[in-house]
Amino acid sequence: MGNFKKIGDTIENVSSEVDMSRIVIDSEKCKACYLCIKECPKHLIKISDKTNKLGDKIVEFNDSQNACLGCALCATRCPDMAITEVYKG
Amino acid sequence: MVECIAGKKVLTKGNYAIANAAVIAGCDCYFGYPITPQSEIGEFMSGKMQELKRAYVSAESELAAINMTLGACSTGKKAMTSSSSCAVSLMQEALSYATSDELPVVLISVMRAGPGLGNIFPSQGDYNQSTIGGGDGDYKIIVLSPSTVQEAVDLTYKTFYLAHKYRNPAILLADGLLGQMMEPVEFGEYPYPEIDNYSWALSGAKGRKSRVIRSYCPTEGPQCEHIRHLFDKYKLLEEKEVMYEELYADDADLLVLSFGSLSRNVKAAIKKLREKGLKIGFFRPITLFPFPNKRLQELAGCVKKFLTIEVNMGQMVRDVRLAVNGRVPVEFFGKPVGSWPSVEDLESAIEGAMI
Amino acid sequence: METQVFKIPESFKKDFRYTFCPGCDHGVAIRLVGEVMDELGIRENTIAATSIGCSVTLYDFLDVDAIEAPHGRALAVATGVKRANPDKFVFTYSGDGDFASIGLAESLHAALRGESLSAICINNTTYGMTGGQLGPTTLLGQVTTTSPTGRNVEYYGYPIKIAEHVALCDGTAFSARVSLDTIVNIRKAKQAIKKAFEVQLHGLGFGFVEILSTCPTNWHMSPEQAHERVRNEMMPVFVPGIYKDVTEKLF
Repeated sequence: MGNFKKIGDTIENVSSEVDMSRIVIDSEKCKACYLCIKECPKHLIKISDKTNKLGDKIVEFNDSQNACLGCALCATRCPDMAITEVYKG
Repeated sequence: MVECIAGKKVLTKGNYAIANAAVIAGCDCYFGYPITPQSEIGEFMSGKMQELKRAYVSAESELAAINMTLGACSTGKKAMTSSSSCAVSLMQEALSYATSDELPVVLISVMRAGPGLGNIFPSQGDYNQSTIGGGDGDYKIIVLSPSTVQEAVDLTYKTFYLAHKYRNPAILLADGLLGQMMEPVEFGEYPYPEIDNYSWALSGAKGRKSRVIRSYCPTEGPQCEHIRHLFDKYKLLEEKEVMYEELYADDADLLVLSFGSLSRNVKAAIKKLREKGLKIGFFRPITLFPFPNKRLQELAGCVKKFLTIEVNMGQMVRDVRLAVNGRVPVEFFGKPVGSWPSVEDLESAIEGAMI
Repeated sequence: METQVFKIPESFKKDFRYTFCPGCDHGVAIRLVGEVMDELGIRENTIAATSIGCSVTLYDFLDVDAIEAPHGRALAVATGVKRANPDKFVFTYSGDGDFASIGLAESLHAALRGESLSAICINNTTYGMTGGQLGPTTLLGQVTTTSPTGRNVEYYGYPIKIAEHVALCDGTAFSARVSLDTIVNIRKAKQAIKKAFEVQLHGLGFGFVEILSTCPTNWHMSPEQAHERVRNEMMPVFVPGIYKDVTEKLF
């Protein structure tokens, strides 16, 4: 499971490391409610500078330290299933 | 209650006959709530459907009954409910939904007197309720009107058939007199082919795309298209399914129109007047929708005057006037509710209209 | 090897995109329904009856056969579907206005008859789609567009406790109230939905879950504040819990 950028240009995958826990965000599903931000125990989700097609300032996943636990709390909380996939390394 | 023996006539009450015909038509599900003068339909069905292991629910209201029918019909089953006048009022919303959803809902409507609670005497006051309806939006309901218990049986079969063939709600519009009177009838077998509903019925999305039966249409274009599609169906009904009874119309100076069981008295009066040498014709629409507009337009070219007789304050007369579009005068004779006018009263009313 | 611990349920349409307002809990509730359908493997045998209000859009997201019931008639339509097809899995998904105001008779009578149905009711204390009017579950004191100074007993009477009413019906096999305000409660909610579905699959009777849910738009709150309101104002009145569970005696 490597480069998720192939799937579609709306799907973002910041971490490309194999076997690392990570999440996949579909920016076109995100409605900027930001409920996921507070759920992340490692504070890896932030408001992005980017906007989606609806003009919403979406969230982004930034895990340069490979700190993601793959706990899926963010995805469980997300009311729009914009966090479409979670992997536990 | 009803011994159904093929090829043999049995004496039975109208309501029982209609219920038994529905069973023979293959009605899978009955949902109902009691109201006089049609309660015998639900009573008959409660026993018969359980005996046959078919679905029966004593619904908590007419609202629930018609919506249960809607649900059962969405799966392609033959389902019906029955009711009367003030309670059919409660079903108007669901009938509107069923037209848009294109569901073959069958409703047996046995007219009593209104408006409001009215009383339990027979009436023809629900012609407008059935043919125009009180639901929202542009829609039409197939309406069949029997004049005898035998015809009520035959038209019950036809109501199921047309509802399923055209995927549109259909009403058998009887009246309290017909529901309560006993006449000899022969049931025979359901005479129509079964309609394949494989392409649209809900059955679970196994091995195919999921289906949604809905009326909600949030955009203008598809909604316009959908309504036009419905009206194409109604046009087809008007071309193919019109039924009427006609007597002495070809050489008549006066054409007398009536519908339902009242027509029997009207026809008897006309026969007597014919014996007196009066040139009077008789016309009875059997399908109230589709209404026999075309035939009435033809007759308007050779008949001098129309007279519509109803036990209401003039409901079908409006459709007759629309059909002839001013080409001949259309008069009305009627009374609001209660016992049908006698043959003698009708004779003098018709003779009066000749002048 | 990495393992996938979260995915969009298979029971969802491939190209779905929720049309709810940002932060609305409808999305979580429908996802849980989809997850439970996946786990029970019932998608292909399911017919849903949706209702009027925001809940009607369920059929745009879940990949199941569905019929849209007129307002308040979801349980009557579902009764018709199920009685005509006892082998199908049939469920309804309604708001509190549909289930417990205009459709209270249909809902409770389905439970009283012990219809083999599962019903989900979203309680967000308001009529959401029409712009936040007072509904059957609006809390005392709550300001809505039709209770401008707050719900008072003199004019509006009391809110209804739905799960308790359903539990009182003898035909009910399972009745619970759950909340979506925290991750833990979301997990409990999923268990309750599963139970409400399972009682139908086992032919035990009527299965019901009331889900306390948010309407940030009409509450004029952020999604986060809305969950705080669920916790602080709704849950003391609409107490989460299992109000009836006939399987306790069976297993």
